[in-house]
Amino acid sequence: MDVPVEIEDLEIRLLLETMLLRYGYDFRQYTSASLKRRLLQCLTACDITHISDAIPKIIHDRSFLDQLIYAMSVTVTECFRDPPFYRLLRQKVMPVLATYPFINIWHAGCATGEEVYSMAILLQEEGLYHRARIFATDINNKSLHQAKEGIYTVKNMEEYANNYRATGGPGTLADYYHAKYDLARMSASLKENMVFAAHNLATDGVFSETHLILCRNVLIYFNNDLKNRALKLFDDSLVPGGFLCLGTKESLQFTDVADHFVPLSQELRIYQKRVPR
Amino acid sequence: MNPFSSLKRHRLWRVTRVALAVLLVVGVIWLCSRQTVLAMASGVMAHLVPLLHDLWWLGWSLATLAVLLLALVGGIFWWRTRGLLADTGQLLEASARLAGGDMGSRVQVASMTVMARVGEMFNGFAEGMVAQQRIRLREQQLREGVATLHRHLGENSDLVPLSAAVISFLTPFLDAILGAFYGVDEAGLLRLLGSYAYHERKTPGNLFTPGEGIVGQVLLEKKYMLLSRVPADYVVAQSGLGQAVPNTLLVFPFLLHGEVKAIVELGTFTTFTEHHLLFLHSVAEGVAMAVTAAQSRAVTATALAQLREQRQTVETTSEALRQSNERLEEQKRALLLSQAQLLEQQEELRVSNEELAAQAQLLEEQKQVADRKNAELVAAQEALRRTAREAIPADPVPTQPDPDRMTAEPVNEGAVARMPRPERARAAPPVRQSPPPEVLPPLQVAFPQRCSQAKPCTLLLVEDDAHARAAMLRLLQGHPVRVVQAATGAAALTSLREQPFDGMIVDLGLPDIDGFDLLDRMTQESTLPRTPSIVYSGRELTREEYERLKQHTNSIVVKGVNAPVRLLSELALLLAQTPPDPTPAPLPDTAHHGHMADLRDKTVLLVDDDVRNVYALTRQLEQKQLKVRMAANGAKALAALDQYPEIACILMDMMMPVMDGLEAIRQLRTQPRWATLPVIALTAKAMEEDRRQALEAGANDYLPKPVDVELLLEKLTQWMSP
Amino acid sequence: MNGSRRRAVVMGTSAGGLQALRTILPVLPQDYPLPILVVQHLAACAPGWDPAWFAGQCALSIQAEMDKAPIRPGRIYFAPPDYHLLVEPNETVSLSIDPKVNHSRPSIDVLFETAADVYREGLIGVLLTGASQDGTQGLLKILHRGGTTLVQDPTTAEAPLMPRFAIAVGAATQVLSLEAIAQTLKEWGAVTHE
Repeated sequence: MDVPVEIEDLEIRLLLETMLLRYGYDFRQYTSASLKRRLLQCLTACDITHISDAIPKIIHDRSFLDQLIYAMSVTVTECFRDPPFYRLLRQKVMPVLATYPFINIWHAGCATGEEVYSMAILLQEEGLYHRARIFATDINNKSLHQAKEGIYTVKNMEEYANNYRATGGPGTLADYYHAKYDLARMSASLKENMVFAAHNLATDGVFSETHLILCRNVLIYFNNDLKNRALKLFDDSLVPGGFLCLGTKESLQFTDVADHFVPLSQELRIYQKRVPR
Repeated sequence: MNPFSSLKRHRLWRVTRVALAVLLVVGVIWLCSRQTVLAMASGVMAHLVPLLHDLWWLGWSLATLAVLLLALVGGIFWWRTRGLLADTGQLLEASARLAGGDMGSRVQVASMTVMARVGEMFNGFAEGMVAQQRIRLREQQLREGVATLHRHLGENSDLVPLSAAVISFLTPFLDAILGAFYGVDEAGLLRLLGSYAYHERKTPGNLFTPGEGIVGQVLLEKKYMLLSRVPADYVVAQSGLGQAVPNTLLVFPFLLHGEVKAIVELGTFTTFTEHHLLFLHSVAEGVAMAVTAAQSRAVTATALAQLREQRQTVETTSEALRQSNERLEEQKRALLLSQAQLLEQQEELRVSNEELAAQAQLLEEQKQVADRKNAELVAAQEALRRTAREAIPADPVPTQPDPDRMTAEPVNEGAVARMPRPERARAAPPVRQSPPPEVLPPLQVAFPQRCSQAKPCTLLLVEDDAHARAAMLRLLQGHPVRVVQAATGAAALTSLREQPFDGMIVDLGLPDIDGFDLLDRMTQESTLPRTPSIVYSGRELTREEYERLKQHTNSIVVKGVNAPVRLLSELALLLAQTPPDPTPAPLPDTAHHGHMADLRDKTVLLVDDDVRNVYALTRQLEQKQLKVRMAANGAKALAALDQYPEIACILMDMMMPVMDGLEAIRQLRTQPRWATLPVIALTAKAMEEDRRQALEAGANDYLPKPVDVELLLEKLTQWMSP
Repeated sequence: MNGSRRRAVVMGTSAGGLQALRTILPVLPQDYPLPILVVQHLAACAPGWDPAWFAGQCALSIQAEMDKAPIRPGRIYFAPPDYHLLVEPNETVSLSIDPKVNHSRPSIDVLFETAADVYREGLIGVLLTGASQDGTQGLLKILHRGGTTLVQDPTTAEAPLMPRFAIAVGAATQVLSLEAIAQTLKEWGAVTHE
């Protein structure tokens, strides 16, 4: 608490530069307020008083870096978060996707994967999953591993069941997982067409042509430059007429790609890529 | 080496022997030398002789007595000791044999020493051990028998082989010479299921009711029966030795939950012991259970077979139904087709009618205007007449033409479709029963500048279904395109040869050649200009079909509620692309142009599942005269390597389903034949670590995506040059 | 305190907060020179919570699009439900779905602490009625960075726990009634304006 803000900010800058120069992880364009909160929390937990004390540790200890990246980039999510959004996907977006022989979906910043499984369930219920492929990417290897496992707590799943019902699903969420003790393992059939991969929106490029991209509540952590970079990746990856879904508080307004998209639902932040002239 | 043999040389034994031998020798020597000694003594001391003689005689007698006594005692001792030692040796040897496992080891004690008692005790102990071991052996046999029987029970699920296995095992195991195995069927009757060495039986038949015969009685009483005197003609055992009648018969029921499930009948020449019965008791439940399970399986199997039969009947019937349905369907389609043609003709008629009507109306309007003008003229004249003094000329009322009506209607002749006017389309929207999934409003589709109403783009529509054609025309009306229709693949090829098109829409299912073949032929026919196409498919595509189509087009639309909307945007996209250059672009004159010859005709394997990437890269590499093979994932890449040995370099994407790039590289590097094959990793990932991972897996080089083709060619030259 | 250095107001409230905000916000004039950032706990997200009500009643305008919006004087920024509201060093707001703090998202502490780092002695922190411990840490940080804190008088609060807690640890510069808080904010704004 005794450190002046200027010094703290300097320390954070040095730490981020270290991460970039040593390992290639670029967090410099993340929104600094939340990044700082997370960093301080993580360092306090590791008994590190000054931020700059973490720098030598990062340089020499890869596992500490992983720990730090986990703390800095993990996000909380849930199955069928924002049910009206999923309802709209089901009603309006799925019928359009049905006109493509094969469907590529990119879930950028999939965190621990709850929404990836939600998407698979939706596709399965709309009879499209067999010709779909979901690329689920995240910068955070640890969350990605959790996503790949697809194991959540039964308690949470019971909460998500309400979300699922609100999306107008024909079955029950329990049809899609096997509960044992207090853990729920998502069905193997949902994992069939999922590809999990580490991908950094700050440094990496487009890897595939896609028809639907979900990047919800990720861009709020990026500053405008990084947000524009990520949106450009999405724009490059989407086919004309493809869909981009953002978090309910994120928007394309005032971004570089704003006029490349038309809103399908301004409220639920579903955008459709224009056909370029 | 016998550990007890050393005892023979025991010290006592040795000392005794030596002492006796010395005594004997001394005695003999002494007897032999007596005369000499006497002669010497008489010569030297004649006076003393008588005295000495008496003394000598006394001494000699005493000595002789002592020697004899000593010899006697020694002999007796020797003899006694020898017997004891032999007994001890025998006892020890017998013990050793017993310990070594020889159960028949016994001691025979002849001497009357205390050893006799010990020997008897030993023999008793050995007998006890033998008895114990026999019991253990029997128990072990029992256990093994139970295990073997259960194995038989587990291996046979059908009733008859199960019974055969049980009886073939039980009979010899229980020292019987013949055996029969009966099951209780669902009617409660005993049925002979298996037998062992059975030849004939007094009672004919293999079926017994409860109470009938011995087995029937056992079924009734649920207790075993042991008959020691079997009627001579009751059963006969047959073996290689001939026929024989057993003298003891055992009939034993196998019970499950108090119910007899099976019965075994066994005959022997000797007798059945309690061990035999004990064995049967211990396996009874297991056998009963196995028999019950086999019976219920048989029942299920019968029921299933019946069901299958019934289903087959149903299928046959439904096949016939389906065929007649198909015929009906065909007739319906034919009817619809003629109806559609009729409708089209009607439509044309209606159009010309309407045109006539419009012209009539126009005439009418003109007439009205003329009339109005006339009336005005009359009125003016009237006014002129009324106000003769002031001559005020009346302004003619300008006619206000309907702007819509003024729009030039695109009239196309010949094969060109008649494009109805937009406002009529609004009046009669396409008949489409929209199911719950919603149709998105069309994206703001902007057709490119070069297509205008004045100079519309030309579009070839290849579709055999008249309905679908009509729907497509409705969809396209109002857009600046001129549509030429073709109902068959042949007609399409003809049209393509006649004139160039800006684009074409191809239905996959055509009556003569399918859409795939049409696109293939278009590519093969070198004189045809490349026409960008949209494929319209009424069904889902397989991966293989998709990959085949991908070589021709990137726009594939699967029919569905939203298909028309998507089709429009695909069309706008397709027309927006710059018209294809008929002549292939010359190779750019770059610095590495000189090296290009090295790459010519070499085969590259492109492993990537990204449609767009594959499409673009393949085209650019083919322009450089490279041959490109494609694989959609790591697993397919390995298969392709096996199939096409000419592959000289691999371009491997990292992020793929099924098997990713890293794994594929690792796997192919394990094979010596591909150890030196150049592999260039392509990846969207930019971090140093990703690069290191690819190289560690065995890639030779690394290129970031999107791929810079010049850089790629440089790398290819570097890695493929000899 | 030198009034001209005041630059922003952050406000936090929980149970009973709707009424409290209705008392304070409409009092502020249209040319109010400070931005006002408000965290209202989720409990208030229940029916009745409608930023649009304020739009009709306040002279100040309500910011609609929140993500990375620049912080402008005379504007009210409400934390959207289920998102934390943070202040960035470049004086824009940002949102996060980080885990709940003090069982709340949005959390008052998160807003107060990040705002304190940016506005330091120019920040006014206002903690109103509520039944939570949220806000106290934030007020302490504001004080630590040289800012001023106003806490509602617990005896006038619908739910006194939150103000009482803050006062107990000495996080309040002044303890005032709702009306007095509104008046103070208005006066300080006027001073700033001069």
